[in-house]
This record gives sequence, structure tokens and C-alpha cells, in this order.
Amino acid sequence: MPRIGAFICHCGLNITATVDVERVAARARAIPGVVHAETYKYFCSQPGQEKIAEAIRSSRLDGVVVAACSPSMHEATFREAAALAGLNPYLVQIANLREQCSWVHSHRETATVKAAALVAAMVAKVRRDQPLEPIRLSVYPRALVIGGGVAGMQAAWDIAEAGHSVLVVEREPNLGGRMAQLSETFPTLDCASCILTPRTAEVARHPRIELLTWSEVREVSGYVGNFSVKIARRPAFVDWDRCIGCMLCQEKCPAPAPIAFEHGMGMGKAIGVSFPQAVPNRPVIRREYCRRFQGRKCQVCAKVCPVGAVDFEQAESFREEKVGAIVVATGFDVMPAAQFGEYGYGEYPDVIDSLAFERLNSSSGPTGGVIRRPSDGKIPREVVFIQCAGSRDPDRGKPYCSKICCMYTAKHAFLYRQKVPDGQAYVFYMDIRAGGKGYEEFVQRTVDQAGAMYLRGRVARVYPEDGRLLVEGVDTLSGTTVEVAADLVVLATAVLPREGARDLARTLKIAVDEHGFYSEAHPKLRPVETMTRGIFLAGAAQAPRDVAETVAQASAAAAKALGLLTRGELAADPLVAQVDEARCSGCLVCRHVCPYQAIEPRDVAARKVASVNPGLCQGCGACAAICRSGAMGLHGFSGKQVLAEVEAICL
Amino acid sequence: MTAQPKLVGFACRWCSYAGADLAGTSRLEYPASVHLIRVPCSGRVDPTFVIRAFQRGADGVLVAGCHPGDCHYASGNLFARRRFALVKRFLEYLGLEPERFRLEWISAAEGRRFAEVIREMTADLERLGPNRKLREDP
Amino acid sequence: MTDRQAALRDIAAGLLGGGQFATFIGFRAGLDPSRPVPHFVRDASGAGALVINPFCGAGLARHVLEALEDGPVGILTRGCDGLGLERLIADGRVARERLHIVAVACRGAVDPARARAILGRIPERAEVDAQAVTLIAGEERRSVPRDSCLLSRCLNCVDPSPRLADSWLDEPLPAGVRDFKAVSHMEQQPPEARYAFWARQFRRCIRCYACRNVCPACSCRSCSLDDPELQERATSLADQFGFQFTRAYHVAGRCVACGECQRACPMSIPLSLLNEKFLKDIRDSFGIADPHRPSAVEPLACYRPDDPESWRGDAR
Repeated sequence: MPRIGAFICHCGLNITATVDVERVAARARAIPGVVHAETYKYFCSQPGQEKIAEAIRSSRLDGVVVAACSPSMHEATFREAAALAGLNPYLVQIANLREQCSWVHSHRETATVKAAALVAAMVAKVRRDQPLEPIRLSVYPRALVIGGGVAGMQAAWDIAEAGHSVLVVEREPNLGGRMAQLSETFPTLDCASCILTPRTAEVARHPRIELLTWSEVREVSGYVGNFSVKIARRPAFVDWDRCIGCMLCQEKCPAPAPIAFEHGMGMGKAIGVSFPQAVPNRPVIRREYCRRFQGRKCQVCAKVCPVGAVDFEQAESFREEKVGAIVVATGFDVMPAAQFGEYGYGEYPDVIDSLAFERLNSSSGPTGGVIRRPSDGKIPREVVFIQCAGSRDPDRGKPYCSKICCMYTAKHAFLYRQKVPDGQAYVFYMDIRAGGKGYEEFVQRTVDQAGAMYLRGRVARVYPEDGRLLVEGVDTLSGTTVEVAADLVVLATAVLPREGARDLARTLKIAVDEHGFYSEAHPKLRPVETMTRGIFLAGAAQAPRDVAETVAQASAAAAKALGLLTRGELAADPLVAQVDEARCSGCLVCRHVCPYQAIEPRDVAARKVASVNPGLCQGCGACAAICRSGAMGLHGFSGKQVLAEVEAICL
Repeated sequence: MTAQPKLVGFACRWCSYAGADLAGTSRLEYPASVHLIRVPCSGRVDPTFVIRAFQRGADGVLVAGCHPGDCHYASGNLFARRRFALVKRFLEYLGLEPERFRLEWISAAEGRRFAEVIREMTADLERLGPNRKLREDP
Repeated sequence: MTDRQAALRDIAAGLLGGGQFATFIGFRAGLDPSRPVPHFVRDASGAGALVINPFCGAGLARHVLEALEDGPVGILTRGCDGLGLERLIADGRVARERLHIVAVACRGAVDPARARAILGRIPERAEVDAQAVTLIAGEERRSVPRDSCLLSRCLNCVDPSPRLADSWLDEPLPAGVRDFKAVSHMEQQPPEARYAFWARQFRRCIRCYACRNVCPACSCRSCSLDDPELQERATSLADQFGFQFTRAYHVAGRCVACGECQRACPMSIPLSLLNEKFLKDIRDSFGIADPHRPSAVEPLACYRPDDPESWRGDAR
């Protein structure tokens, strides 16, 4: 016969105001197997926990039901208290008398009857609980960082500095990500590459950081502490070990190529690096622009290379790596031109997006930092900036604020005025969102010192006239229609997840939100964790954010990863599926419904049975629900437990 | 007053159970008919749990999970959707009134919706009266 | 007819004589000529006992589980047996390479009880074609409509020939499309009438488990229906509903519509009417054309992101 204790909490007046706790306790006492029932003001308090511990010891309890607030509040508290008193913590169940009874019902009689039924259900459940021990998992002391932008670099740097090895996988040939494309950063106007380049060099030099650029994560298997990652390295057609980085190839290459880094503002070469400070300073051949790959005779790069590093035969290569934790820092894209017909984006060369403006403004950019409009190279005298191009626009499917645009637009307007003192910047905006240290002050400076004219309203259309662009909009503050003749129009296009983010999410088995940004485990309390243990998020891959926030989040992700790596072993929740092998027929229908590939066939006495990897299993119970024989169980939510709860409630 | 209907609810811990908790913290009153059973996922709910509730006297059964696309475990609610779409029709085929079994998507943010579903369902069950089907002779 | 029987005996003898096969599963004559019984032939010399005639009614698929313990199996296989074997293969219970499937096209099996009632005595032979059944006893030949004396499972059959075969005794007949007429008819009854019908049917169940024991989709080593904590043995109406629901649900999306459960039920509970309800709804809701024919992944072990929520609007 089990010996169960029921502890009915008053929760001050929260429960007692509606539920007659003494009657609930009396009803509990009447349940066979319940040998102890008491009520108390606050069982979560120290004296309250002490009472539970005392009853466990004196009444030799082998099961505890605490009838109190929601298990999401204090299940952990009471399990720990029980463990301290020598009871296995998994022999504790919580009846939710507050959130799901006293707070939502006002009729004392019915609430009390329901409370008693909820307690009876938990008594029935706890009787069928088994003592469980946390699952011990070893942790492979190495991290994988996916993405070599400022987020990835920061996370890698922090992990490496703390003494653990890190593998950084970057899709582009070089580190730097979006930040490398920027001219200055708000609100301090530091030159972006001046702060990023030293950090990049530090990361590249770090003895515990290994870089794999021009590479992609293709497959991920395993689980927290024990991930196995298959990485594909695209062919660079240059042997990077031989290459000395002289870039003679790039200099001599006759084939121009539009490179992503310049965002449409400038051309590179079919062979070369994206920008002069690139790390690693090693070129790749972009085969779609290379003359030789287009079937022509050219082999200039191979001829000029002093070390014979060019290798047109190079193929994609793969490697398998083992890591214990993964930081995902794949960054963002901006909304493509095709989405903005009314602004003539993609149609008129002088309608550009903000990332293109960054390149025009960059001293290492195609114009050497002189702001010239793309159509004729003229220095624009009037520039219109249009904020919220795609953001906060449910019609285009992006109801969210892209967060960084208000600030970088202010930065652009400010820098433009510095470079073109007689120029005039106009900014069409919906609201100015300048929350952040020094942000609001910066916007004010842009207005006061740079004379930017802020117009609150939307732009209806942009059309060319006499070599200029006419911008028609509404100033909602004055209620008038405004028309501005501009030389250049800059769109603050919506921030989107990086292309391929959804595929990577599938590979990693992490969730994305409706817009494709990776989902955090909890928006408040677990902002850098994913629902998959051991995988963490950094930067704009999770939501639009600026450099400062990105770096802070990257360090937070690194701290979480380190929390795993610094322990050689970790404990996992034992509420996972397990197979009764004697009953299993080996049909393996469970494999089809397992979202974690946690089930494998196993040979037992010349027959096949299902076998659960408790490290991979997250305890969802899909397998247990589809198993017809009852061979697949789920600790804490077994079929027999749930049925017993049903019976107790319906009694 | 007349006895309340007995409504057994299976609620996934991540969304619907949390939504019910939110109804509590928001003090949204709803009938005491419902008794939630916490499960990890709507995909955990075996239809035999549902039939057992009816066998033992439940007047209605609710299975509640995360909205499709929001499952904590990615796909559990999508399996549940298939399964209970069939089970619901099957129970009706056996003669049960459609109102007595519902599958609903209720997120952790939808405390109000949880309360509404319970109110609605309870009103339906009160109108139908106590259930005798699947347990007593006609 | 006799050609097929001779060919069957030859193949069985060949398989067993070759040494690779331990058992051949078919039928032998029973004491009552209208009731042949499933039979395991263990050596070539026994192949002469095999018979094949329109009274061969029992499903054979489930028997391979027992026979395979002794080694590879040859088996006489009609369309229904073939689907049953496919089910067992899909469930990982049977390895295809350990079977030799001797396929035969089937036009339906005669229900011996109904035939006897029609004839007033035990029929000795029968002939079945697409239009009618001819019952023969002594000098008497009586032609009757198919639906008056075939097994009910054969009347709805759309799979006269198996999809898997290693040898053929004759030419395969084309497969048809299930129409679920009986289910549709039941669906059109008022709910109260449906409930009364099922309560009356389930009340009669004696829990003999024959329905499960013959079912090719119910081959679990250990069955949850045997676990008293999962399914009480009580025969209150409530527990009968629990039992019947669970049995039917456990074959939902897996039932091959062979009708063997209903044939085996000593209380003549129309179990196919339950199984077919699931099949029909799977077809209608998930766009699976022939859900009774096993596929790589069973319908309830997969999903589509846009599966219809057909119940919206049903309830209110």
C-alpha cells in the first residue's frame, strides 16, 4: 500500500477565499493510500517546506501531492524540498488549485468539489510514479558557432577566452558579416571596420578558435553535449594553404563580378576577396563569373599566381565535427527590391536601400566614401530617406518593427550632411523609435545640427522627372501633401532572417517564428536558448537588433554555452520515453512520429525492438500515444497514469 | 443549483495548460466544470484516454494544444489534429453529440480564449444534459 | 478449378522439396466439405492434401507469424491475404524475403452457414462467378445471387488478387474502388439510432478476442487489450464501448479491410462497419485514395501542414 501525503496550501487567501481547504484535506484523507493530509498558509515558504519534509520523514511517505499554485510556479521548489527530505523528487505532483480553480471560480461549493477532484487525480497519478534519476550526459568540450559576423565572432571569442575550443563556420569566404559592410556605427559614429577589424584579427589568431569559411553546416545529429555536425566546404578553386594572400590574381583577373558585399553598388572580380581587410585573406573564384568556367580560355589567375595555388579542379569537401554546444548567429537580410514597386526600387537606379548607402558612404567602398548617386555619379543635393520600407506593414506580411532603421537613417542623414554641407536630407517616418543609450540625443543632433527634415507620414510613390526623383508623400502632422524633388532615395528596408535560415532551422531542429526568425525558448527568461537543449541564439537571426544588442546577446549565448562546456557532464530531465522491450513488436511506427530521431531499432534476442536515446528524447510522448501495444511508455505521463487521472476526476 | 457538467480537458503543458494558468492570473471567471489533465503535448493524448473519460462519466472532453506551427515539439499537434479529426467523427458515428468532444488550439497567451472555450463548451453540455452515451443503455 | 488446385500442389511440393521452405500454408478439406480448414504442410509429400475451392473462407495471413518460426513460408494468397501480408511486412513482423507468395485470383468465398440454409443441406461444391453462386449437393444445383450466400467480407471486396506475388495460379483480376456504402448508410441514420444500434451490438460481445486474434493489423506481441490497467475485462456497456473503440482505433489507418474480424466474430458484430468508418474518413480527410492498402508510412504516423480541420463548423 502506498503512503501518500497531501498538502493543501491556502496560498494566503488566494486559495482559501474560494476553496474550503479543510474539506479538500478531509476528502484527500479519505482516499485509500493517503496517510497524511494537512493544510498550511504557504507551503512554498521555508516553514511550509519544512512541514512537508517533516511529514515525509515521520509518516514515511512514498508520494507527495502539493495542492497549491500552478506547477509552473513551484513544482521545482517542492521537488527539491522532497529530495532534501529523502524522497525521490519525481514522486511529487502538484494539483493546481490556484490558477485553475480558486482564481477562476467564485462559487465556493463547486470550486471545493473541483479542488478535491484535482487532488484525487494527482493522488492517482503519484501512486503510479516511479522514482527517477536525472539522466547523465557527457559534454564534448567544444562549441560550434554558425556565422562569422559580429555576433558569431563575439560568441566564439568569449568561449575561447574562457578556455574552450570553438569552431566557427561561415558561409561567405571571409569573416565580418553585415557589420563589415557598414561605414560608421550609431550613435557614436565609430568607423565600423576600425572596431571590427581588430576583433576579426583576434578571432582569427586565437589558438582555440578554428575557422571554416566558405562552408555550410549540412547535417546535425546527436544532442546536447554530443552533437555531430557535417560541414560542407564549397570549392574556392584556390588552395588556401598554398596561397600567400598577395591578391595578384584579383588584380589581374579580367572578369568583373558583382559581389554581394558591395550590395549592388560596386563590382569586384571573379577571383578575389570581398574587401581588402578580409580575414582570412584568401580569394575564391566565383565560377558563374569566371571566364574559364564559362568555357573560355582565360587562366590569368593561375598564370600570375606565384605559388601555383589556383586549382580549377577543386571540389566540395566534407568533414564531420563533434561539438557539445552550438551558437547560431546567422544574421539578417533585407527585403528585396521586387517588393517595392511604388518606390521604383529596382527600376530607377537612384532608389537604393540603406545597405547600399552604407557602401556608398564607406571609405573602402566603390566611391571611396564620396556619396555619389548610382545613375550618373553626381553628388546628390537632396536625399530622401524612407523609413519602414516593408516594416510595420502587415500588407507585406511584416507587421514587426525592424528596430535598427530609425537609428541608421538618422546616422545616414547626419553623415550625408557632413559630407555634403549644402545638401538636404528628408526623412519620411512613421514614428521615431530611439530607445537606447545616447540614441534619442543622436536623432536630435541629426535634426538640430545636420538639419535633417523629418516628415511624419508615408510615401505614396516615387517617379522620375527631369533627371530627378519626385517623392510624393503625406505629412500627417500638418495634414498636407508633400512633394520633394530628390537626387537619391534611400529605403530603410525591412530586416529579414538570412536566406536559408529556415533550412538551417530544420537541420538543427529548432523552431522559427512566422517570419522565419529563430524562436527563443522563452521571450523573457530564456532569450538566448532554443527549445533544443545545447543550441543557443545570437544576433539578428533571432530578431532585428543593432550591433550593441547583438554583441551583448552573443556574450549571453556564449555564457550559456560555457555553462554546458565547463561541466564535463550534465543532468537531463528523466521524463522521457522508454520501451518495455518484452512488449515491443518492433513495428517502429514510433520512429515516424519522433521529432528528434531519438528512436532506433535494436536487436534483442534475434528480434527487433525500438530503443530510445534518452539524450535525444525531449519527452513529447508522440511515440507513447501511437504505440498500440503500450510498450512505449513516457515517464511522468504514462498511459496508466493519465487513465488513473481520468478515472479519479470522473469518480 | 443543478449539478455542473463534468468536462475533462487534456492540455499540453506549453500552450494550453499555460493559457489556462494565464486565465487564472488574469482572474477570468469560467465554469468549474473543467478539470485539466496536464500532458506534455497534444500529441501525447491517446484517444483511449478520451473514450475512458466518457466511459467513466464525463459529459464532455476537450483536447487542447498549441496552434499548428507553434508546437513546442514541432509536430505533435499536427499528429494530434489528424488523430482527433478521425476520432471525433468516429465518436459521432457511435452516436455521440458533436459538442461533447472538441479539439482546440489555445496558446499560452490566450487565457481569454481558454475561458471562452470552457464557457461555450459548458453551455453546450448543460443544454445537452448529462451524457449517458458510451456507457449506458439507450 | 482443379487446374489451380493441381498447380498449387505442385508449387507447394516444389517449395517444400527444395529444402528452403519449412511450411506451406493453404487449406485442406474439412469433415464438412463446405468448411475447409487452414492447413500447414510441412513436407512435399503432404502437398496433396491442399485444396482450393469457393468454401476456402478463412484468412491465412496471420498464420505466417507462427509458421515463420520454423523457417521460410510458402502461402496461398488471395487479395485479402495479400493485403494482410503487406500489413505484416509494413509492421516489421514478417520479412518479405522469407515468404513465397502463391497468388490466386478470388471471386469470393461462400458462407457455409448461409449456403446450408439456402440448400437445406450441406453443399458439397460451389461455383462462383461475377454474377452468381451455384451451390451443388448430389444432383442438386442451385444458382443464387452472390449477396445471398457469399461471406459479407467478400461482397465488398475490391482486391480479388494480391499485389505481391512470387507465382501465379491464374491471371490476376483487376482491383476496384471501395464505395463505403454501408458506412454512408449508417452515417445517415439519426445519432440516437446510431447509438442504439451500436449499444445493441456491443452488448453482445463476449470478449473472445477472435476479432483481434485473426487480424493481420493486430499482430502486436503483447496487446494493450490484455492489460487490465489499460483495458478492463469488465463487460459493462461502458467497458464494451472502451474495448470496441480501442480495437477499432488501433487498426485505424492500418486495417486492410479483409473483413476477417467480422467473419471470425461468433456474435456477428459488424466490426467492418467500424473499421470502414475510419478508412472512409481517412480517404475523405487526408486524400489517401485507398487507405486499406498498406503504404510506407501509415496515415496516422504522418501529417500534412494543411490537414483540414473538418470539425470546425461541425460542432456549432
